[in-house]
Amino acid sequence: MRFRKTAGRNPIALALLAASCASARPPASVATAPHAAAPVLAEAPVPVGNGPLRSGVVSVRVTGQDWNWRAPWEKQAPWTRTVTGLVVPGRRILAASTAFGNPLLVEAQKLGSDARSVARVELVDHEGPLALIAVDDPAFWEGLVPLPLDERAPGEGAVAILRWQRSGLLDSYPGALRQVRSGRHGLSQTSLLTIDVASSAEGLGESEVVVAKGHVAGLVTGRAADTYAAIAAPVLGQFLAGARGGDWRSFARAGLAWQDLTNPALRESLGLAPGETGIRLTRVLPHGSAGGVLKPGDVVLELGGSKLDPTGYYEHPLYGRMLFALLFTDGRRPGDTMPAKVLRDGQRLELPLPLRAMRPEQDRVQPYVYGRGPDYVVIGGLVFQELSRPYLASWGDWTRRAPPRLLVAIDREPDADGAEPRRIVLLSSVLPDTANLGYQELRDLIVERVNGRPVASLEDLRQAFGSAAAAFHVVDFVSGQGAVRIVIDAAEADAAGERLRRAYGVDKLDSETRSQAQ
Amino acid sequence: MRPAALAALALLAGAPAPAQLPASGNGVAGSVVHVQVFRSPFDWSQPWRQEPVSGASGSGFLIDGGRILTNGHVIADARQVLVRRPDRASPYVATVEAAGHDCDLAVLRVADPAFTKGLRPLRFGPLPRAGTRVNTYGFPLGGQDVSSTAGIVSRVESRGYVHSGADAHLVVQTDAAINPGNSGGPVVQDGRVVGVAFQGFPGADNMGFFIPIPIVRHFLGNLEDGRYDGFPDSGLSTASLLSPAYRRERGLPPGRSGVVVDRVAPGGTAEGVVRAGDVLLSAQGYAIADDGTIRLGDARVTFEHAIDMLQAGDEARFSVWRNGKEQAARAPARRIARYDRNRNRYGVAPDYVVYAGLVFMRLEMELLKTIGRGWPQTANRDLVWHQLFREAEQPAEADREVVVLTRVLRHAVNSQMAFSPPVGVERINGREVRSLADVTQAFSTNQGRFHTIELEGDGGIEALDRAKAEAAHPEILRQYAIPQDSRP
Repeated sequence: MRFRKTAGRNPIALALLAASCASARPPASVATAPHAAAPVLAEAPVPVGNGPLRSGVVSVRVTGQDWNWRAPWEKQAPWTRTVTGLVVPGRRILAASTAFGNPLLVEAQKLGSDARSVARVELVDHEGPLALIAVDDPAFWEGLVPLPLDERAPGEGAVAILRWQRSGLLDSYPGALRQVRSGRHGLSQTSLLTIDVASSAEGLGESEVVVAKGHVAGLVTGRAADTYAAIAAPVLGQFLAGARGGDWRSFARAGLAWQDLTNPALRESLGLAPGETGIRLTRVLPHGSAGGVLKPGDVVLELGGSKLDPTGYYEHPLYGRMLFALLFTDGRRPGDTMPAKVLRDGQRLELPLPLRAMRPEQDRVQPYVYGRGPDYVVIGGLVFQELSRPYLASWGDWTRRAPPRLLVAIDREPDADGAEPRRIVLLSSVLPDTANLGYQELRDLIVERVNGRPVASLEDLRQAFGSAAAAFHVVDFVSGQGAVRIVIDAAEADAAGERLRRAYGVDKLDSETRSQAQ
Repeated sequence: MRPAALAALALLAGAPAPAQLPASGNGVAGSVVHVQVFRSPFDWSQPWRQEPVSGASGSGFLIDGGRILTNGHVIADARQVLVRRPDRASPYVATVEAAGHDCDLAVLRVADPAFTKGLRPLRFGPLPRAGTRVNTYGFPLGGQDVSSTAGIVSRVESRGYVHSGADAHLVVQTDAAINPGNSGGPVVQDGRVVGVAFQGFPGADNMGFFIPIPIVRHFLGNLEDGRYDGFPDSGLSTASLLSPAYRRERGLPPGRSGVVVDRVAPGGTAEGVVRAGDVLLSAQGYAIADDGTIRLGDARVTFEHAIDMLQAGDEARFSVWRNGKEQAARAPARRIARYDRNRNRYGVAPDYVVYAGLVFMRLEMELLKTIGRGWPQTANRDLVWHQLFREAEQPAEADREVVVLTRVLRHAVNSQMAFSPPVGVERINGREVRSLADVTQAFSTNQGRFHTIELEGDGGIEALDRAKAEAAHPEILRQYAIPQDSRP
């Protein structure tokens, strides 16, 4: 799967790439910790003693509730997750976890205390994922001292991974640093400086603290095979500095898909000089950092003054070979300008890239939706939604289970250059009612038009339904998915509202409606 | 075109003969023959080679003209066919006179007149009614003597034919035991053949299926000119009119029924005479119900059966509800040849072009199957779109061929390429590629220093140094034991 790689294009290919990067790529040269140097991995965790580690790590309990993307007017069962938190200057707690997406209650607890203090999320960036948490109770902070952050990611050596146990103990697991690399975490689409840590510990991934030589080296976010990935300390420092300055702007995203230029004949045919290398862009997201500047077909030779090799790697002064996507976030932030040297139509051009973060709404398929429920419209029992990553997640392993036409729509159809991407609007399901007789079994069909008007967003669909003065609503689907056109009676659809509320508990027929629908 | 849920009866060769029922004595059993084949299918992942020889066996029976009728899947990819009478020890060599893989039927012939001597050709009966008794004859799990089982006709319906994977025709379901090896054997009622046993569900009990006589007659009738052409395609995609709102919107008066036409395929029978939005009221005089079925005796089967019964060139007759009135629509029945790319292929040598280690083939189902069962999710999205959706979304492009770069035979000249096959090819050396001939042309006429290959999708490209590719080409053929660099 090496041809069509993506740096922050859409959620789909990205998840795949994250895994393959970690495993298939040769480890970065400076960063390899030989297996033999790893500590005996079967060691049991040891409780942390009375040293500084004890006073620098706390527990954060998050109770939250996600929406039910298959019945978007409902929420799923609430959950509780316990996240390890890092005490940081300014009486704040830093955590790297997706638990802060839809939180209802956040509580903090420190070692040696059975009390939980109510906390609040002060700043959250799902592109970390990183959250800064405040606890207003001054008593909570007594005895807590921030641990020093490493200024650079350590490349090798033994580390301790600190995890807060539910029982109130702080455990330390031995681990060994494997490599430093560019990586994505959680549902993030941006590439961050990442350390890989080998450990036999089970079930980590909720912001456990990686400590090397008394300094914080990173926060664990997930696992690939026997290796844990952690957001490296310099990224944490970047986030904290931005938070302190009150102007955090998230992380910049490349928004590119590219092909490797490993083939010397291809390099030569594209006009690269002997010894000259780079990658060829195949897709440029309009809202990413390269949007409007770089174009598909450009060969990117240098970024930020670093030469790219035929697979898109550059030589990082500290960490060795790193994927170019890291250049957009490592020591840079949105608003900065990064020079790019490209070969376009035989010309070598120096182009400034204005680094930009992307909001999740700027992806055709939103990578995550937090803090609000799904957008939906129910008309005559027909449920319409925009295709999003959380909706896809309802299939579980959706890359293998979702209907093929949806996968085609996600990967094959490009983003438009407009202000808002064209959305994939679905008839997601049907709530059986007399208003929709004959259509009860339809689901997951891509809508093309409603009442003759093209639909590129749920808002388009609302307007198209609202505009109809005729007796019937006509919904046309992208042909070839089975159903092509359905027709419902407009008056019957209006009358169905009360029945749908009673039969299916749909309290709002449109997510936009604040109170009860008509 | 939907994937069939049935699996074909597996044919077991060389299995030890289990305890056999004696063949019943009404004279049918004597005309049932054992069919043994040795097959070697083509390898669609390495199209220049064939699979190793494997054996299989099934059943068949003598019909008029000295012919033996059996299933298409019994003789698929056969390189040698042997038939044996139950009363003789030695088999005779047979040839496949015709095969209709779209209806899973085939006709064999034995050159030696001694074979048929004393054998009575079996005669065909009608479509049996549900609830009536039938007997099956054949060689389940091989065996020396004919085995017979009895049961009743459970139902008559339209169903997918697993062997082709892309066709649906009339079938009859029975609870008479039909097991591997029964394939091709006759199903008999009142001394006449009412069907040919052919498929079953691996997991289901007392559910076997046979091909009823109307389908058999269509197959044999088509052969009268010495060539098998297949079934015509209506080309209609329809939706049931179970929605009262849709019925009213179409203005269909109470008491009338039919299905609404979603799409009319280019090149199909109905093209030009039936339109999207029409309500199809009848086909060949059969009134169509709101769920798309017509009445056939006691059974309800899809209206497509009425078109199925036509031969290409026969007049197809529809009536449609359009603009508030009933209108007749007539057109000669036509077969859509491009649908062959949706079918499992048998006895068809795959076409290909190999150049400097790059293997090019046409996009079709057999190629996608080499990716694995999950290909609709795992294959290159552009290929999935072409195969499953393009015709519906871009009917003007329906007949277009897609050339696929299926694999790279690694050699220093190409091993640095960084794409993942199989992937569609858009252009080679600036020339649009719409056939394998285009591939050959584009490579052979290029005078530039490089060959440039533009791939589909995100617009990836690859290149070969032409001089090095020319030099490497024969070497790669030799190294990888490829006898010909293209077929045909």
